[in-house]
Amino acid sequence: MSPFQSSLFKGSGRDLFTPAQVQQLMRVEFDRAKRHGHPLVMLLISVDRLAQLQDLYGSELRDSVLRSIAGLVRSASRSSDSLGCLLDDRLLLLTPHTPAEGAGVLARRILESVRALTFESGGRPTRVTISIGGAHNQSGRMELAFETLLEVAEGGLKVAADSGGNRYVHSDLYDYFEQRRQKEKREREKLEPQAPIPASAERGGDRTAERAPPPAPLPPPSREEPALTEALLGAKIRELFGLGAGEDDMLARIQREVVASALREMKGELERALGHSQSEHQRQIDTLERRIQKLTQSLGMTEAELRRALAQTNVDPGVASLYRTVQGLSSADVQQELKKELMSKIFQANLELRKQIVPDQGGGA
Amino acid sequence: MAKQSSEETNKDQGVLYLGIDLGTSRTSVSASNGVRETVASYVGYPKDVVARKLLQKDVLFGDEASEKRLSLDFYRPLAHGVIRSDKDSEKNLKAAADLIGEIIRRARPRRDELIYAVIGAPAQASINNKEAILKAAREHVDSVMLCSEPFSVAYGLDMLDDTLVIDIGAGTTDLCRMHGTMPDDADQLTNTFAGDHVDETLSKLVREKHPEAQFTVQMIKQIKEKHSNVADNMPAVVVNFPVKGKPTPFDITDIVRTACRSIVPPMVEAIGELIGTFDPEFQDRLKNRVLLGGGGSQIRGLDAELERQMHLNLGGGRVLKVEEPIYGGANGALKIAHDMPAEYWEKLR
Repeated sequence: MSPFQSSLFKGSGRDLFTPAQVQQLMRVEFDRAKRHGHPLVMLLISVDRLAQLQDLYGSELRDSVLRSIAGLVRSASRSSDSLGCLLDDRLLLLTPHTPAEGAGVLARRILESVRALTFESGGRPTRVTISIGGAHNQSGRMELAFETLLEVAEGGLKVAADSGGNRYVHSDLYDYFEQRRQKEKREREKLEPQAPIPASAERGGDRTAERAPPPAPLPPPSREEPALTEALLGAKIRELFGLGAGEDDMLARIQREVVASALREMKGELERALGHSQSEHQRQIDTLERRIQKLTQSLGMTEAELRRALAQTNVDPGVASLYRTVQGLSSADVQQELKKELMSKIFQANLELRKQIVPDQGGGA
Repeated sequence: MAKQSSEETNKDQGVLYLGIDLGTSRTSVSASNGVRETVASYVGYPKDVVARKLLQKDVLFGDEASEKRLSLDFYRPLAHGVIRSDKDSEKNLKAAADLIGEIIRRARPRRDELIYAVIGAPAQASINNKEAILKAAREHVDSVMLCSEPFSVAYGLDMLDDTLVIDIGAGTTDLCRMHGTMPDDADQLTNTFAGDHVDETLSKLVREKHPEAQFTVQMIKQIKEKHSNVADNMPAVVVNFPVKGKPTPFDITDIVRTACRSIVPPMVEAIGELIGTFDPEFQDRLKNRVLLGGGGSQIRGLDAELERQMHLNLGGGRVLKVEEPIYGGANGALKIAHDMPAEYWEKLR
């Protein structure tokens, strides 16, 4: 949890909810909305180019920006609305009894207010913008969950941020999932250059299909796979393709192709999952690298400051004395005895002075 | 190189000896690393935040402080050879401490060296004064001793026997009779007919003779340092003083001579007193070994004028001038520091 988040979650009054609290509240609100059938809107807010802002001006300005925007959103929303902060510095606003149109009005008001904010950094004014993704729960028969609505709002936020920020994008549940389905389809097609030979193409002698490489040999069926499933699949294929009893070869080939197609689909799903996981890891690596870069830069600046401070203080290494040891009177001095006596008297006078100044200390004598 | 007085006090570090002459007008240091520095005994602290921002310093010393004194709380912490004890005594004590710290810093000691310092202090300095000096010095050195200023001048020149030392400073003129032992109170006389007295007399005479001239004590001090002379045939002194804003030349030759000569009669009187109370058998020898030191000894013709006055009043005498009046006291203090046995330094640490 960042210092900003820690500071937001602490204290009394209308502090922000933690991610765990937000989820809990969301479920409660869903249950209530479902029971009473009232609309509910989720707004997901993020500051545009926050990482660059931190790299340029430091974490203090970043925290100041987040704190100010959180305060602004809080003041712009109703007291019955719930405002929380996710772990990646995004704000989550849950507004019950609000239709999609009302959410748009609220989001635009927040956008305008943030645009008017000015932050001071290094004596120069700095302005920031935000992106808002919104989603509402009035999407017909779908059984909603917190994660679902959050995913839709995240989709809207991503579109808003990728479009340059400083805007609000409201995603409809149906549209969002339709778009996602189409996107996944496109990705799947990209992953399958060796498309399976459709039965119709096989029969019709499609040139494209002819150029395609022969299908890979089917993997042997798993031992655990119930024989019943295979029998059911055969029956279903016979029914779909209208195959008779004498077309067992054709059935076997189609069956292999169906199984191969299913396996490819599963492989694609696996690859997508892996890709998602990899991209998440890559994002974390990027964040850490950026942090390391920032810390390295900060360390360099600190070292430079220290060198400069050292130079400014004019620290002088000094000039070495001619003597490595305590000297004393030279035996070659013709007045050695006289000087010895004089030194003794000066010492005694100083010892006496020391006693007068600090009566308790005898000056070591 | 001198023989070690105590082998067991050998140290891994080097030992830097400092001889410091804490004067009313100038504070000087001679160090065993070859550094010699002098600074006018002025200390200034920025009056407010604006001055602090402008000057970029928390404390200024010497001529720099004098030049910027309008932006400063300005202190001349010593008067008549001792730390001032007027209404600003606390501040003067602090200023004196800072001045001692500054002169030690200017000696450029290495951090890995022991620093032993002897500070020439007026014999008349009070216990409080000496305590303040010791306290200020101890913050910067490992061991410190005080000694009489005129004694350190004589010790530096190895004139320890039958010598009359006259140390003309800004605040006081110290006379000390050296007779082969440590001088006691009866051997020392101090009067205030010194550099500052010349400045005051010069200011008074200029004001009387040229009331239209505008000047400050600093301007008078600069004129004195440049033109001071007691000779009958001294060069003409023509200086510009502003009159209603316009620089106007004034011939102040006679005034300068008169002001400089104003310290001679009291000095001759004090010489006569010290000689007159000395062993009659050695009085002639003492009269012929009068050693003139301190900043005031730079008044041109002063040695000759003193000899003339001594001839008139005491039947004769010979006056010698130290070669380095600014560093005479500091050099002597350095020599004392060097000759002081190691065990003494150790006991006073």
